[in-house]
Amino acid sequence: MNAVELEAVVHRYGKVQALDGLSLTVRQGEMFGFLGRNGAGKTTTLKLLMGLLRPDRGAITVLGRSVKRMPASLKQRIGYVCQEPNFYPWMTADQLGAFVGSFYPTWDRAEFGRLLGLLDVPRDRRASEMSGGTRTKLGLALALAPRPELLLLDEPTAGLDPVARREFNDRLQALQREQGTTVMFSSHLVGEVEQLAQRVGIVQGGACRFEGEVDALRARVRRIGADAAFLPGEGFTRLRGDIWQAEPALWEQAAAAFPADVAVATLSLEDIFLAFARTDSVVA
Amino acid sequence: MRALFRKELREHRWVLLAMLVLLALVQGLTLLGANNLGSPMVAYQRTVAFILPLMALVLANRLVVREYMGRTQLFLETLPVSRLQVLAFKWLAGAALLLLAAAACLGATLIVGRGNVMLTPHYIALVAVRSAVFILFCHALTFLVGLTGRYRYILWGLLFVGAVTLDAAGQQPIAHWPPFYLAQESMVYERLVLPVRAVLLTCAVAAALVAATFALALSAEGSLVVALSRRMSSREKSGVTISFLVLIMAFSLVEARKPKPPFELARAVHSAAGPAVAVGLAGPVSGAQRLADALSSDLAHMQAFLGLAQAPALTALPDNALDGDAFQRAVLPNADGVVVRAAFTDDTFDREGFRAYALASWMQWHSRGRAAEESRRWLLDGVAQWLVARDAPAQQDKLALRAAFAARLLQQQPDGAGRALHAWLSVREQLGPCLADALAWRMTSSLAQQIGAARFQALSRAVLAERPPGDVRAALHDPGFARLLAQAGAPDQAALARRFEALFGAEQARLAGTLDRIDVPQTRFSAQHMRGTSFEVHYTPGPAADPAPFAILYATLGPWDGEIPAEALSRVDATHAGVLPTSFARGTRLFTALERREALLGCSVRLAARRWEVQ
Repeated sequence: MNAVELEAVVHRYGKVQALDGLSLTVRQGEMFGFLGRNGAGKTTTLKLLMGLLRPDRGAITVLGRSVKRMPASLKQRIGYVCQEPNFYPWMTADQLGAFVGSFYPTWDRAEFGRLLGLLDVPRDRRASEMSGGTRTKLGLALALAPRPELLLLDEPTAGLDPVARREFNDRLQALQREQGTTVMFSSHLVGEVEQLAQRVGIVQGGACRFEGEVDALRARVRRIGADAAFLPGEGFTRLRGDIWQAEPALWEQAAAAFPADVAVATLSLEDIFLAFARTDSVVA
Repeated sequence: MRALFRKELREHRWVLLAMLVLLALVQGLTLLGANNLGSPMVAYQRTVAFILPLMALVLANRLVVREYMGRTQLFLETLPVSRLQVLAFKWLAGAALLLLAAAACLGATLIVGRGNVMLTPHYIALVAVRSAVFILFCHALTFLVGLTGRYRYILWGLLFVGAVTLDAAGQQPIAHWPPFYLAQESMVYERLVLPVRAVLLTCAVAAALVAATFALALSAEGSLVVALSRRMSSREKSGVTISFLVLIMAFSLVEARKPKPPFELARAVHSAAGPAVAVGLAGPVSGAQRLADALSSDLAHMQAFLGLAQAPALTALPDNALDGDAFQRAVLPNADGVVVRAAFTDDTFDREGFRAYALASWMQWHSRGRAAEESRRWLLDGVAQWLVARDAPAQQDKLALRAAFAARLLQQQPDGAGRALHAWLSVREQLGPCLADALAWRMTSSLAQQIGAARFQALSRAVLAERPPGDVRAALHDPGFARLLAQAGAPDQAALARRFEALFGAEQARLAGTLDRIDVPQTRFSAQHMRGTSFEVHYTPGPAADPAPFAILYATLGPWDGEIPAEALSRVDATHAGVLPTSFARGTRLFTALERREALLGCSVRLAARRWEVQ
């Protein structure tokens, strides 16, 4: 069973088309990186998965259940960390734990305490007195303490400094390994996604441009260093400039057929992301 | 839901505590003063009408506005609880708290009132239903307005302006409309019948407000309310403030320029020529016609003297319930003109006094009440008398005698002339209208003599004939009486006081022979304890050579009461000592006075007038 399935999902904010037929699958137990530029539709997708928004069209399944009407019992199985957690400013970490915990039958108080220690979150400090990074870590502890089956993270490290980001990511990886939780996190930081994710989805203009493993993506997209007049042939699609994509097998077959002065180079994930971010083509 | 309840309690506990303490204090204090209000149930009615709506406003602000403006609603929505549940919980929690507070107040009132008020289960149920429905309406309204976030102040402003407009324009005051009618004083006195129509209408309005609340909060996945709750940008704030001010100014200008229909009286005779005067028929037509013509002639003289072009119709209504020398002015919110009342057919009708009263009322109307401000009121009263008496030597003699007697009463305390200049309303209250008008005439005619006719006319025009704008601009157009005196070349008020002091003394000396024949019986008012906090008030007129009938005037005073209108004075006619026909609670502030008709002066003389506290 897949943890998350989105099928041709459309969502609009008034006249603004946020999602335009987005389809995506997140497998159980994997760490899924959701890449996209600002405004690409990442946050909208995660809010749809949490039931905070409803799709105009399309189908969404989370943990095997449709989220047309998000029941509390399903929400209890999901952990969610948003970009800027809006905690009650007058509550301390402990008070927030007590408040949030009362909504989850699976809330593990000891685990929450352990996570606070692990993430260096002061227990008796009010949320209003915490830095942005500490609030994000507190959000992660609150999301993990009920031992959710699915963890949705919306650009969790956006406000963190490099040290805190590395620390956060390390903890996330360790926790995911230990608990086997499915993690879907959005980011526009390619390096972070490359480091953490087993699979990625690239969203652009409200639709998924690529979904698959990072290595498969690298094998699929390459730069052809050649005269502008050179075209590699059928089965190849130009993403941008001299960056082309094709099935890995096709690249192998074509390698011998390319003229001698044509150099084919593999790309970093960042270059691939940039190429996708500026094209409308969809990679199946 | 328990977690939400604990969270709300913890978040708002201090505000809730403060509100409940305030409620207990207000309810306690109003119950303590319940005897003044007529019934302890009035204390409860006031709480329902004024305090609980305020509490609803604060609650809506805490439960809704704070959650959305602080954006903590977004955090709450990520938890396993639906938006609908959160909203319903908050609404019900607020309603429950308000109803509990009302129930506690009602309980306390019933305990206090059980000995004094007839409390039947039916009556208690009526009061409970009315107050509960009204409170739920207030809660529904404040909750909905709270959801409009940064636009809530604008909405409250528009609602307020709308209510004021409807109140002014409608046939019925807005307080008589269904939601508000439920919390009016009728709540206390309608003991048998539930105003079913008002209750049902209020329920319907409240239900519509609740439906609108949920529709607003749940529409567009709650994003509409979230968008509304964003703070205003500086540009938006400035725009809203300017628009609002422009709206209010435009509204007040339109309102001020809108002509009101003239007051019309069906059975009346009208002045043959000159300014329009109508006199209601209450006797022979010829008498009414003479009065109408005399009033019209007075108005024409006054217009010429003050240089006025505009003259609204003057209507005189007969009112035989009044004494011959007592006059009243009617308030006309929806019609134009000046309406005064008097007992024309009474044997003791003071025709000249009434003519002067009509002129003074007209000047008050023209100056939008400014001519009646305390610093210049003596000039208003004086000019009115002066205009009527200036070609009537007999009337002048009568006024001179009254003025001398008034001065004798006034100068029983030091600085009588100074008080007449600076605290004219107190002096008028002490002397009564007849003697005060005569004293004002004396002061005015003396001033006219001193500064000359031309300057006196200029002063009168500046003080009495200026018509200020009918809106906030009026505050910018008030030069002050002292400045107007200086501009007209009149002596300053200290010099005037010295001159009047000397004048009063001279007049008393001149008329001493007559004045000594007027009885001034020493009248005494005293409070005697009955039971609990109740007192009765005894009046004892001193021995007089002429044991004529007299009238006792009294009124209870609020903490901020200024001039006591004639219609607010209660009256007891008597021939000997007695007790006022009502009891008073300890601490009640009272005004009491004795009035007796003095044949030599030809009017009622007010004696022993004072404000005091019952204890």
